[in-house]
Amino acid sequence: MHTEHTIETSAERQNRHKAMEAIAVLNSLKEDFKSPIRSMGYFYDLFEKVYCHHQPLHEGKAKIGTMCIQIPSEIIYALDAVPIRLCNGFYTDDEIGGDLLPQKSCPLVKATVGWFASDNFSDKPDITFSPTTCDQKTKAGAIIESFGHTVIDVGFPRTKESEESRHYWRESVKSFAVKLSKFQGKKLTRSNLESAIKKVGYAQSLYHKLTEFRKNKAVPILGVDMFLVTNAFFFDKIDEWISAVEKLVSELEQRANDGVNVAGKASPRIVYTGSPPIFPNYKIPLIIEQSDAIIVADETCSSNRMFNDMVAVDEWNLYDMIDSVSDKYLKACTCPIFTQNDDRIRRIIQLVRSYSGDGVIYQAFAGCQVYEMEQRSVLAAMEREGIPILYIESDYSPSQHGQLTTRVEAFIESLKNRKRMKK
Amino acid sequence: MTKNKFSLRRAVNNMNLVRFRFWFQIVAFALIVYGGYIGLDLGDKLPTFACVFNSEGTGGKCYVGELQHDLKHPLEGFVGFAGYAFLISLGMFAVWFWALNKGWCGFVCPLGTMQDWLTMVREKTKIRYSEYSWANRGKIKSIKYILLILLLLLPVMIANSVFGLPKLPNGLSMPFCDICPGRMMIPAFTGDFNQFYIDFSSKTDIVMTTIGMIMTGLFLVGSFIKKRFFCYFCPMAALQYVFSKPALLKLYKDGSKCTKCGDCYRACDMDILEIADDVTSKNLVTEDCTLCLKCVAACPEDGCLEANFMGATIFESTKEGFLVRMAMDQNKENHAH
Amino acid sequence: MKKVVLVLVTLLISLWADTLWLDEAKKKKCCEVKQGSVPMKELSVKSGNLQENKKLKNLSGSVLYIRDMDGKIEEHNLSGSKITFTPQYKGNYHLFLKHQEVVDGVLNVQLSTHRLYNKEGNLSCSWTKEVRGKTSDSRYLSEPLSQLPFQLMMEKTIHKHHVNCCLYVGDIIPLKVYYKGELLKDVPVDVELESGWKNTIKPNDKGMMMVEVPKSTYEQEKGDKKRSEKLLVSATYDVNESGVYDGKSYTSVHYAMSIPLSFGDTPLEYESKTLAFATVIGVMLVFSLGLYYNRRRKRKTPKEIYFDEE
Repeated sequence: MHTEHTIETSAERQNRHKAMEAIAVLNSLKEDFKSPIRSMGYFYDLFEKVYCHHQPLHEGKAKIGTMCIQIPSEIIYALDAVPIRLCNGFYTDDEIGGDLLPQKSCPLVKATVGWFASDNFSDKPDITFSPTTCDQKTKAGAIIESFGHTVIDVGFPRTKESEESRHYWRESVKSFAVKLSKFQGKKLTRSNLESAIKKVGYAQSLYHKLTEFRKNKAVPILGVDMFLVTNAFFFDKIDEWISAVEKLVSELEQRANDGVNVAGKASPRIVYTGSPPIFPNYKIPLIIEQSDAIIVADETCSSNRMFNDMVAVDEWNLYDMIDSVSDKYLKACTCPIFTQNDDRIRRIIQLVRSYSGDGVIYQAFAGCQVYEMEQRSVLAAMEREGIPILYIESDYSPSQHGQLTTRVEAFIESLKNRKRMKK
Repeated sequence: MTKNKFSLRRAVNNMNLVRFRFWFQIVAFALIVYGGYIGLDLGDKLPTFACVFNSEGTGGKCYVGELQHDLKHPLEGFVGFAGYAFLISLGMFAVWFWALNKGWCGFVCPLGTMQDWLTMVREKTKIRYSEYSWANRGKIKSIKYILLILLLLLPVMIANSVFGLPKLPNGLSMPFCDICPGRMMIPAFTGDFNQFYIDFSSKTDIVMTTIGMIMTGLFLVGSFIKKRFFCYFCPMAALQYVFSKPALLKLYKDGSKCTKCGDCYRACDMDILEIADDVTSKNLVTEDCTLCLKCVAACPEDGCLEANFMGATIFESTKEGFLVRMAMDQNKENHAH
Repeated sequence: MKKVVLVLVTLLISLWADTLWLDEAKKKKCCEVKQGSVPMKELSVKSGNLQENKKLKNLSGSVLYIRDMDGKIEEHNLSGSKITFTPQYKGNYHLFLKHQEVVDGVLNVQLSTHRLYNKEGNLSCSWTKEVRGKTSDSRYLSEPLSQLPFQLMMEKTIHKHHVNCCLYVGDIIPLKVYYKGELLKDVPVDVELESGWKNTIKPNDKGMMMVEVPKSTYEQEKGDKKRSEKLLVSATYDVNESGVYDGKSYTSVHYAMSIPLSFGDTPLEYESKTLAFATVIGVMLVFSLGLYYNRRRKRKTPKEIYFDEE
């Protein structure tokens, strides 16, 4: 009797594991919460398509990988390419990368490096641009290149107040644009950059409309759903993303008029800040929302920061448009890689005030030097303002679940008590 | 919740500031340069350049010219009619000025309007504009104060012997009018090119009129390549800034809402850093500010910057207004690449 | 015999050539006004011609009209040999003198006008005017006065330089003659200078006379811009009208009006327009070229322009 043994290739096993991670989170989103939103079906299907079935989305177009949000996507769209943000949230890839990077590294960078090392992409980037933002991403560029991928470094300044750093970044963006247009064999013209800026601006305005609903007392959308929507922007076709979000906005309007609330009446409103939760690493947001709280705003680079700041152009000619684009990515950035972090503190306080937040949860990856170092000043500032804050460290491994749940639940309980005592 | 009903406040906050300002400036220009033909006379204490050398068409006279005239008196005469007249003039100038604060520069001044027209021409030809480096901008700030002090001091020194120095020649009697590009350019708009001359009657006259011609050349090329080039050196701006604090029209900023994105700084013709980087002050009318309100139009945060008249907000930055002005509020069809 | 005729003729001419004009007394330094009070203006009436003239001692019977910058007209009957008046506001005042006399059955109406600029006004009366700050002062009249039956009127001069303060050599003065409000088109105008130079100008078909201020024949000191000279413009007109004036009857009326003016050397003796335009254009070219080369130098890789301005 013959039994057909097929031994899985490592790529297939990796895909299977990733699909398992993805589907677990998606099912949790679909089933664990009340009042599901119909329009979110598009996003659940999209993630399932890409991460479970590994379907390629962008056949026939040049795919430009970016390691960080500072690479201007307007320029990439203008040159008729597709930007794909390569920040990775899978524990599977994290394990692969763990062999190649020091033990105490940021799990996000480990996962990204692991992904490249395994070279198992559904939409493989033709070229990757890596801005020199945090230390680990800076060094990861060369490591990725050693695997045989094309990686180009884009210099990013670590200060943003001085004239030199702003000029440096403008020159960096210009040379990035030259290199990309040479790679594409296309030229950057006034009309294509103008329409790219306007299209991305429109997408950003849709996000603003979505977040307006979260200011209501009865919040019609979950925080994790918002994270999912914004994560989709990393790799989705922009036109389809736009039309899906438009439908979502109209459904949310309907829900807001009906007073639908996805949380309880007394659920504390949380502002989430810190290292970006990238699909499927929604551990902490899910714990928060399963513990009867609701995330109403966030200050993370995978969600709010991508969409918050808009490009303003004074003269719609190429020289001004390129400078406007590069200024937007630098000046308003609240990433902790900068020397001063007053802007980030002011932003968190502003979010708490305008979204009526009850508390802040500050999550840092274990190994993320910059977020860990900023903890002290952010905690002190929150104390001055009288805003309760919880600081937790986590990484991608599934083992910490119990500990984290305890801490988060305790914090949420204390917030509920505070609210009750105020009344 | 989208507000679909019409409200005046929303319509004003969404307005196309560039177009509004363009038409306002044209009307103000017509009144100041051609107003005299229809008998308009706004007096001679205007806080904007309305050239007295445009004798038939001018709708008013600029106060700087009047000031130089007023100060050419023997010092004893100041305790008497001349002194009172000077104080009344200064008071009237302040009253005119307080109505619009520095908005006289951004919306009314014909020299400012000319510079904006040159900027529009440059934009059409797609030539890139120039910027000063921060260090240079700090250095040139004091030039307008030096010019103001000179134009106040020289007429007094013509009629009097100050500190024992000899009296200055009469050729320096209207020192700023000699070098002001407005004297050449404003009458040119009524077809009068007679102010373009070099006067060889005396050494002082040669020097002053030659400087005037050089200033005109610099004005024309400078404003072409740098937005509002002349406004950095304008002594009228220096004089106005002295009275700016109690004025009625103000530019207020709410620093807590500011994300320091720098969009306002990008839009600013005068490259004022404080508008973007200062998140603690409330009143942001700095010495260079022309209150053109481009920063308010370019700010994407709700309620961060506002133009405030006597305590009431008349124009403030809103997200919706930003999207409408940048044409990002609708999904346009893809352009064929 | 010839001498007698000559004397008679000169007498006649001097009789006919007897023009009246208003003359403003220049203030001397010693008599500066005291603080707080408004300076008084003093005028006298001279008769004759610019070279030889005498003051009229008795002004009774003459009327003085004073028009201020708002168009208000005051009438004064004169007496004595001096005209004094205290202007309240700072600005231009127009004075009109009318002297009527019947001589040999002819009514001689002699008129003169003088424009006065008052530098310092009475503060308590004029502070509203100061606040208002009038820009276009009524230096020139736009309509003839109804009080004067015959008027020689000076219109706006066609000047070519500076804030127009004074008349200069080379300026062209447009003049018109009005009789009872209507424009006369055939009355010539006499111009005379202090040096004795005389000329007569005829009007054009529109009734306008253009008088160009001539260069003085005196030796000039260069650079003395404050020096000024007198110019007298006059016109005469006869009408057959009879009536009675002051108890005497007349059969014809002889009108004569004079405008005394003073002018100075043109301040722009030597000016160059082409050099000025050349300077402006030269500066513009130098600046633009400098900018252009500066930008080209800064652009490090001019060949690798993958940007296309569309």
